[in-house]
Amino acid sequence: MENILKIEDLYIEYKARRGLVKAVRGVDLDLYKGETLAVIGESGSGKTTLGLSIIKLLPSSARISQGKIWYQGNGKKYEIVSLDNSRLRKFRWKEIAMVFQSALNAFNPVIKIWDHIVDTAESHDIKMTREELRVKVLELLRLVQLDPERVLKSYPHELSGGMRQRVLIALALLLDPQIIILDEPTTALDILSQRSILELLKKIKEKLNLSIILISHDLSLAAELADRVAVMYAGSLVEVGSVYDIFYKPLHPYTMGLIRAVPTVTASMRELISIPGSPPDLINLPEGCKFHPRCEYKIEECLKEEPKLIKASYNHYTACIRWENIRNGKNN
Amino acid sequence: MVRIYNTLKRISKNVILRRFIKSIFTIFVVVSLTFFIIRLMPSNPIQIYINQLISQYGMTYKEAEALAASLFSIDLKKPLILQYFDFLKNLFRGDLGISFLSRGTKVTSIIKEFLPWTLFSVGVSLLISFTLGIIIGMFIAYKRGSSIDVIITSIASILSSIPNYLIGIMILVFVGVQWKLIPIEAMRGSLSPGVKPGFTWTFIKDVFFHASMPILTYVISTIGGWILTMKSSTLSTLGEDYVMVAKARGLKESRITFSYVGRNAILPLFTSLTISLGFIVGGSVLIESIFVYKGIGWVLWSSISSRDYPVMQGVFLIITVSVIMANLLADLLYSRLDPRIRITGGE
Repeated sequence: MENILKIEDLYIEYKARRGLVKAVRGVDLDLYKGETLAVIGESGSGKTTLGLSIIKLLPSSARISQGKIWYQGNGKKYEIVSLDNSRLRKFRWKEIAMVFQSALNAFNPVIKIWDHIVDTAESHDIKMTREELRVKVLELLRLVQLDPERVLKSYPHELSGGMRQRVLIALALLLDPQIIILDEPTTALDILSQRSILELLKKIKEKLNLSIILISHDLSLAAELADRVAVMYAGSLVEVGSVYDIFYKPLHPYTMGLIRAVPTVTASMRELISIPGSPPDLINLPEGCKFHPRCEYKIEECLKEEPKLIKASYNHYTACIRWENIRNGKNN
Repeated sequence: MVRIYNTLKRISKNVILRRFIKSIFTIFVVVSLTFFIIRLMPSNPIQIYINQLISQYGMTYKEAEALAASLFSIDLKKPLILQYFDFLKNLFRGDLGISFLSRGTKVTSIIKEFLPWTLFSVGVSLLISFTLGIIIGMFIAYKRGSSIDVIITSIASILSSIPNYLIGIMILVFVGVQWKLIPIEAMRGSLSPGVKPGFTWTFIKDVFFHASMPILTYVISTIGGWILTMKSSTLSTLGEDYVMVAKARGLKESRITFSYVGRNAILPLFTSLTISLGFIVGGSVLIESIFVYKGIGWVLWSSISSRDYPVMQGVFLIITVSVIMANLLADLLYSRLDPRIRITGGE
């Protein structure tokens, strides 16, 4: 399969008073054309930082200390980390758009939605007349199931949270980007709006040939939307695989813990088990495998060296040296 | 009765009208309070005039009293409450009375003569100070943490904490008297003798020449405040999600700076600006006295020292009206600038 995005050995650090926060450590990840990849993990696992680094929109305290991000789409090939500011500006939203979790505040409160559309189009020198732009926007807003005429005339505060999230999704599709990054697209919404945004995203995925990166801690969202899942822990990927493999045959104790901690409707009633302990301090990381203090499978060797992703089967990778024991259900 | 009730109900539903009526009522209360308070000040105009005659011309008390009484048409012995009703009656006819001291001069014509100078000097300084303040404030917010930010922020904090009269006195003493960098004596007054008002270069030059030191003082004493407020407002706007999303949308830097950051950062300053507009009229009693700049503040100063009640009353009235109207304007305009605030029936 053709990959549209390739992240190579990426390291990102935040400067904090106590020291360097190692938010992303040695991530290697591919995104294939047309697929939906979910990045899941706890808060503070580095998944949002990873998402922001793809459009190089990190806060000023962050630094990409190592690594490359290759983008290949629309017949162009870039290395994003080394893009200069003016090329980066034109690259953002045109090639990769991002839907943020805080859609509530994603719009400038003093201008109308239509002006947001015009701003975006003008900044990218879109060769469209106002009328053509309007036709396209009306179509996009209908796609996200909004009343287009009313929404365009509204100020952001006149729309509900769910509506704003839909408008942001429509706005993200405006320039026909190759990739859309969805950062917790449903977190700030109530349960009914979550459901309808999910249906909407499914529809968009089917209708448009988009590559999607879904960043979420909501496993059910990932399970419904994703083709592949990458599990992140303490800034590193600990398991990458197809959505089926991850949810039915997890090969990393952390993934297993995550799944056990979420209630399901389909499975029979079983007790929810939370992962013991708490995520590690990203300034003073433990030696060896970063998950070992919370792991029920740990052996002495886990304390020595941090395991790399190991190929367990076709398209299924895990960063656990005891994956065979996990697969066979043995813990000794 | 029903019709009156309905009319009143309609009035109470119209917010702008209601605010307006409220403002008128506030003005009435303030004017009434001022009327009594200035008459509570120790001594009275006749006494002060008598003392002046005695000390200046060596008259006896009797002679001075006779002279003073014949000059003043006022009857201070009349009960205060009756004087108050007289005052109100005249006020409704637009008559602010006649000055005690500049005999025969109407208070309205005194105000007409001196007010433009104050409006000009304070207005120009507000314009300069506000414009420079928001530009510098936004600039240092973008350069947060750099040495230029540290330097400008410290200077701005110092300037904003020095009272304007101290700045005025320092300019007068050092620049004017000690170092003699400016012809401080020639700058007194609001216009050089012999200069005819009109749209001529000589006139405009002379107006700025006389107003320059008061303007400089006002600008120095207020710019620090504008810089600091704009800086903190810009900083909090820069942290807003919509600014980050605008960057993700690949908007041009200039568009983000003006329409996304600037436009939102300036909103909280707008209220202070309109309120400052109200204070343009009052000017500064102390600054105008220090530089002998003959504006309305200077008139107030001299009328207070001679207890010229009608003049004091008149000046206080226009200050009150302009401050309250500026507040009203701030309320009404703010809802135009910020769509989130719409004036509706309820408060």
